[in-house]
Amino acid sequence: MGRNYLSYTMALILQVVEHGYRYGFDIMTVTGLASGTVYPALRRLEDSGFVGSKWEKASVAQAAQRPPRKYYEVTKTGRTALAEARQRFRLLAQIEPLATNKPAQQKG
Amino acid sequence: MPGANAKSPWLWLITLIGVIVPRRLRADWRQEWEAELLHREMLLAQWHQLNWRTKLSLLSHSAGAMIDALWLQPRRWEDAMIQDLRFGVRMLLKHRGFTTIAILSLALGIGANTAIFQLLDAVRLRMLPVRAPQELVEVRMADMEGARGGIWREPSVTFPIWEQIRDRQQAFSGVFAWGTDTANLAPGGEVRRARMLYVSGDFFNTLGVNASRGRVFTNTDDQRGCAAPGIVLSHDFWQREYGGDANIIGRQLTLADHSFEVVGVTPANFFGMEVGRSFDLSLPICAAALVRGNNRMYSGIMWWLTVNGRLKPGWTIEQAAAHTQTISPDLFATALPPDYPQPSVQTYLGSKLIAVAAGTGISQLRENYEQSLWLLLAIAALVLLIACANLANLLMARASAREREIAVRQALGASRGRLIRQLLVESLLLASVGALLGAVLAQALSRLLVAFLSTAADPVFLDLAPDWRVLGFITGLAVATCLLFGLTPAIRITRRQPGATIIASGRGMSATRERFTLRRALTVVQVALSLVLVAGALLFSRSLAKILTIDLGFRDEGVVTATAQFQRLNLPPERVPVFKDELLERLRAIPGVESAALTNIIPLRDWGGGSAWIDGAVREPKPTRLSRVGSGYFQTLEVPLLAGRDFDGRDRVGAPDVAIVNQTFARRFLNGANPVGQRLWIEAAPGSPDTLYEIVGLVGDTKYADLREEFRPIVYYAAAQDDGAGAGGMFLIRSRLPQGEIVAAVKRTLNEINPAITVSFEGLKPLIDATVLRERLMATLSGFFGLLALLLACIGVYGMLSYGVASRTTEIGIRMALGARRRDVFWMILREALWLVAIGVVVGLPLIFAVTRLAATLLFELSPTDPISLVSAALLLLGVAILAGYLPSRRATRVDPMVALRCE
Repeated sequence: MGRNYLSYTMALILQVVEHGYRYGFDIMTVTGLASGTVYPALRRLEDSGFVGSKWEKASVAQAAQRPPRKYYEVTKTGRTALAEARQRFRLLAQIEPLATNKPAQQKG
Repeated sequence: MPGANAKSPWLWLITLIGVIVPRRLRADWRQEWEAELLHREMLLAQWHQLNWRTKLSLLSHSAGAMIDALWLQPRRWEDAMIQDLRFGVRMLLKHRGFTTIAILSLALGIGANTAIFQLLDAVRLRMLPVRAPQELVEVRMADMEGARGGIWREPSVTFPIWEQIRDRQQAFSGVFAWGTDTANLAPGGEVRRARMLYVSGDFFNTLGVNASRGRVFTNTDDQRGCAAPGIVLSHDFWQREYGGDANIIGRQLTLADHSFEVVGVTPANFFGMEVGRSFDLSLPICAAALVRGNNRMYSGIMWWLTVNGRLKPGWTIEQAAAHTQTISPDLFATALPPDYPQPSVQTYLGSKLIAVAAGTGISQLRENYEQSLWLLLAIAALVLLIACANLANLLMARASAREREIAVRQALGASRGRLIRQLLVESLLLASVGALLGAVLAQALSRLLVAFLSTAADPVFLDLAPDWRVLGFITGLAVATCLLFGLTPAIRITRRQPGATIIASGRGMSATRERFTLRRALTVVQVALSLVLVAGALLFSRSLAKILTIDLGFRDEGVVTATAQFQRLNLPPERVPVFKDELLERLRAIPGVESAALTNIIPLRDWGGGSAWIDGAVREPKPTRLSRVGSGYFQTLEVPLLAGRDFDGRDRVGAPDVAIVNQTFARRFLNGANPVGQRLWIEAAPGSPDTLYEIVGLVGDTKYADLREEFRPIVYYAAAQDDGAGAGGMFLIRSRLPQGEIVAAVKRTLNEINPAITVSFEGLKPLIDATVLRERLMATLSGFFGLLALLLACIGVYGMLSYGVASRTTEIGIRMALGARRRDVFWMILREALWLVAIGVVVGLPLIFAVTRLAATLLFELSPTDPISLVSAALLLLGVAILAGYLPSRRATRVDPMVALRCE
């Protein structure tokens, strides 16, 4: 398995990021995966250049009285890799983006 | 805002886990996790859902940060390692001289070790390249006491015994026999030998070896009396003789005047069952009768086969061994040949078969050289150890020069661990480059070693491709050497107080005692180990010298052996002796030939023995060596005829049987009385009853089968009285001509007589030299390693002293200013060198006694504590110390007190 091989979990996370769930905890909520899975996966995706990360604007964070959050975006190569992964994992292609960008209300 | 003021437990957890995140990433990492947790906490508060369950969930999420943090661990290394590596490379490039010496000595040490290990791996450790080799077992004779007749190899079995094993055994899922031989590929003239592998039908199938082309043999090929079996080529032979011709299958190959159809080619990695040898052609066992032109291979007195089996599932070797023991009595009773010599029948019937693991094949090479190779590996390891001590010393000297650098870095906050790591990375770099070069060197060296062990008659074939064991060995060596020479200096120089070092970084009056003690100790260790190696080298060289100057009892220079075959002439049996005489006359007539004679035994190559007693005395057969030789034999080998006469025209078939004996025979059998006129009995052997011989001559003692053994009794009988002589003969030819010319002349002569005669040649001297190959190997390699050790010791002592002189310049200056004479200063330094060596010798001597005992069995007529060798070794090292100490001592006398003091 090369460094750039996408496992099902990684592909799922990549797709979720593409669908607009950009923060680590939002991804956990929408996929139901544990933090110990999602974060290392994000680090790997970032190492492979499939996602990039940015800090949210300081003004937004200040308004919310918390430190700025880090969010992730799918890069161009990430989109290509995701398209390939969708060929392999047919189930992925059938997962539709949710209508809203907001995470569903969920506990924890 | 909840959680923003008082820190919640999950945020505490993040702070805590953050400690193990690499420092460079830590701030960002904490912020990311804290922001997420806080955000989620606030959302939950907004939704009024911040209850104990959701809080627990937040806690478990933050615990997941641990996995994240662990996942980031390698980055800590990546960063620091790359930094260390870059710095290490820079430092090594800056000190080119040191780096070159270090890498070269490591490469040499690691290369030598690896080369020897590679050979050991190929000879001893490696499994045969067949299916599940660990299941293979050899069924062999527990001993060969009861074996009579032609014994081709030990241990081995005869064809009838093999048949019995095949039919009676129940321990193996498959069982097969094989034997080796050579056969002639040439139609006439000089013989071209092919190495033959005769196999039973199940051989390839049981081993799980398939043909790379065509097919291999099956049971249908090996039927007794087979008339036209196919032949299987080895991959090498196919490449060499046919250039890897793709259409080889179905072609005809002529071997010993018979035509065989090529049916297959074996895979490239398959060399047969014998490690160290390979084969050219393989035939079913039944074809041996065709190739050799007689049915003797089937007989119960030809010991030439090895039997292997593959254990049935669930069977252990112990069970198989017990099983073969159980079937032995019946088996040998059935296999007993009808004409077996009566005195040996009981021993034969009492023989036992045992089963031993055969996954690594069998190997003459292994038996001859395994012990030597392990010893050489130990010697090479010692050399590497000395090289490491040397490097550690050099590193410490260099470390003193880097004291300020290290102290400044320490003062600036570098931790000791980090500094040690940095220094170790430098050592690891040296060791890795050394190991890499060493690995390349080892490939050449191990091939050189194989070439050393090969002789014209017996080429050594070994698969030397490095396997995981060799790679592991090199890696292990690299790491071990790195730690050996790098760790101590690294720990030492980081131990000092940085402040003190920076303040005292000017030149001190005299070097600190503590630092010198360790370096002195290292030098003493070097000297002690060198002493062991030098003593070993001297022991082996002296042993070789002894064996080379041994009195053979005959002169081997200028003698060529020629083995001629003339079966193709189809002479009637009664013509054969006459024809041999004619050949001999023609050979003797060649200009330059001084004498020539027939023999059935080439001294120190062949072997024949029996039991004898003197006629008229009690029948108490004692072992004696036997040779059948023609007239002129003693003259050709220049063996003195002490009494009586040589064989001559009177000794014919039908005339009374005569014999000539040597001095040892006369001493052992006749208490030294003149044997001429006495008569002796030779005990019955397969195919011949007890026979009476009249002794007609007494000759000087000669070495018979082995240079190392003392003179044995020998009975020579007359070649001309051999009524069963075959259509061939071995001739010893003494001439004044160089070997090339005499060989050409003999070939020409035989060709004139009849072109169908085939002949092969060997010089007698090279042949005898080949029997001391092991001694030569030990002497050459231990000599090489001994020299290397001396050189390293020399460098070590020199480095130690010159560094001492450099750091004691002020002290020397003061001494000279106070009136010390140059001679005093000279002695002061040189004395240290002599002391170091003297202590080294004292430490090394007990080591020698411990180590050289291992070599005792490899030494010829030499005690492992041979005083001459030990004293010479100690003197050599003292000489080296004086040599190494001279330059630094001279340098010390040139110190100008004024300059030295002004520098303060």
